Amino acid sequence: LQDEKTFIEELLNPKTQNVAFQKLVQLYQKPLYNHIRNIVIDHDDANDVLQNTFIKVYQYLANFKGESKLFSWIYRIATNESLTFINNKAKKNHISNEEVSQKAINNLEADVYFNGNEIQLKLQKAIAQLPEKQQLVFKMKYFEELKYEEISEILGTSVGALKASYHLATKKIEEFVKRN
Amino acid sequence: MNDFKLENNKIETGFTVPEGYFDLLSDTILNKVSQNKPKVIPLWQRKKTILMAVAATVVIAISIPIISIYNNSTNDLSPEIENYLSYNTNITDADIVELLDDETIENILLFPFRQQKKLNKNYLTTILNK
Repeated sequence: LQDEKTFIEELLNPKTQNVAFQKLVQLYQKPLYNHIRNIVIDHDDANDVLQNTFIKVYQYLANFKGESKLFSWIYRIATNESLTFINNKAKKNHISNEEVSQKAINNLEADVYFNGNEIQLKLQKAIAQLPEKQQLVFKMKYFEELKYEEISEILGTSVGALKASYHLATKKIEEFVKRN
Repeated sequence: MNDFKLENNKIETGFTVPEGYFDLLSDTILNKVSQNKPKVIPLWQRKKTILMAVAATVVIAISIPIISIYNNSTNDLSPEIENYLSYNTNITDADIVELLDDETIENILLFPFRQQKKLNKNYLTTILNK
């Protein structure tokens, strides 16, 4: 925690800011990319959202109060950016958020940046059937292997509710795969 | 598939990225961030802007009564209002004639219709303003 405090100070000090921010990008780019890609599915969209996320992180650093961990604060921005992206896409095409995810999944087979086998594709299709919140919880727990406590801090949902959500999602996915 | 359990085998996402994507990404982001750096406005400059805004407000505030006084000083009525008044008033032509002196009446008789109308109008305005 002391390390994090020092790191935040480096990020805010104009003299050390650039080096510290570079370190932050190196540290977070891969896990954050995976997090965003899991939500928006398409690589180009994930790339746009990831870049916007880092720009926002940089711009709002001065407002970071240290009430939450830097990790959960950054993940929260990334999640908000991803969900806003899907919302905007849904509004533009006059469809629901779930339909946006469905469409993205349908495009996966032709995507050059997806090399999943049959079961991987089926899993993605099964996830896309779920309500948005359950999708998010499942992806963060199953693919990203985040702890419930971490997901709780990022999404502002209780651990109990997250466990219930994940359990329900798992059951629905397994049923979907068995059925298809 | 009948015994499918998610926890039995970990299934990966199957997502990939273009080659060298992460090597270039940090440079792209750092470039973008330097373009989006929030501008630091020195305090004295901000003070100057506030002073200018205050001065502009004072000038506008002072000029409002001046403009309204200037606008009220004119007695000219728009033709619409004058027409409305001449048709919707109890003042008869006889009343107007009574208020006119001989010279004016003579003028009305001597001058063409247009001018006559103008004279009438002026008198009507004078009467109404009394």
